[in-house]
Amino acid sequence: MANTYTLIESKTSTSSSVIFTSIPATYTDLKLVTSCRGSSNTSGTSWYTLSLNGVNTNLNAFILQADGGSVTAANVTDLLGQNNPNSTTADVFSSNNHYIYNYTSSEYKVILNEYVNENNSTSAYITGFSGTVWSGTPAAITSVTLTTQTGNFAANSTFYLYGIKNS
Amino acid sequence: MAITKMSKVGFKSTSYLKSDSFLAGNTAYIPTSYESIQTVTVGSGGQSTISFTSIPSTFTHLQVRGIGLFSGSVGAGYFAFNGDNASGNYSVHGLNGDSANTSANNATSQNTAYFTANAGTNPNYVTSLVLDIFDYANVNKYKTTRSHYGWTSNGVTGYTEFTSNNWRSTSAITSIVFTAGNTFAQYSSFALYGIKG
Repeated sequence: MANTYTLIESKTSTSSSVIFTSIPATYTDLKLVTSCRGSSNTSGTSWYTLSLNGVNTNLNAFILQADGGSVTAANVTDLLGQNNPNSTTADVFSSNNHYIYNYTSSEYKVILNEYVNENNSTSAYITGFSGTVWSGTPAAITSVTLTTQTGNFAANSTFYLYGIKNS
Repeated sequence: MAITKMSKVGFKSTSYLKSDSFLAGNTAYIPTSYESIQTVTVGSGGQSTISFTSIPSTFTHLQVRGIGLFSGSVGAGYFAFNGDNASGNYSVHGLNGDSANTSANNATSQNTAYFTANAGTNPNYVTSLVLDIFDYANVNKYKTTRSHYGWTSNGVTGYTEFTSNNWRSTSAITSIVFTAGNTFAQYSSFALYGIKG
């Protein structure tokens, strides 16, 4: 049976960014999963952004999310994940999934994002997902960079990049 | 016994490469990062719970993919880790929609997490679930889960939700018990996968 799901690299970080470089072109899709928390962020600054090949322009995303009891739909120009705020319940980390389809294709890249912050509270959380298109240089993705909206990632934040094959 | 000497005798080609390893020339074996741990399929007569016990700590993440078939008057479906179902250690937040509306829901200090909403008295409905549990054995973290589920009752009514739960414990998860509001009917099936990191 073919091996279709392979860990490429895992990382931890206590700085403001995480970089996966030299991503091999031997897979069909990429799956990036993160479990992270900020060291000094709040519920208003809990995003992290992703750059592809060092670029964070030409991104267009539609998001649907709940935060504190209401549902919001929006169009943004970032590729986003959630970094559990330092102001939330201690030791709680976010859970994010970024699935990058056909990352070596010469066409626009499509990314599905699922992100949650948790908190033992009826507010100060985010549960949502988005679809993102990167219409930048139609090159294979060879690096992915995550950068916090503010502050650093807290200790025990983890980041895993998998390669998915379709055969 | 290790090979200590090779000869051209018996080989049609004279351009073979000599190696100390039988692995030479073969494609490197890279183990998969996604493995089945256990699948539970409900038999005739049904059962009220589906349990995964003795979960090994040899993976980094867990994923549960399930189909729940229910009959009779049903309530929400729940799950709990390591037998912790009475201490108020769970929170839940959701983004949901039915055939016409979207809404958000939340609950704090719950005794369990949940995997499907209360379906009221709608009989004979089916729910599907994909549940991710990252860093399930990391003793420095409370455990955050992220899941999708949806159910429908004969296509007449339905509901879908994107949900997060948090279990406020740093213990490694060694068991998960899913509990139906009423009974898991025959052919309900939940599969537990381990993902290496």
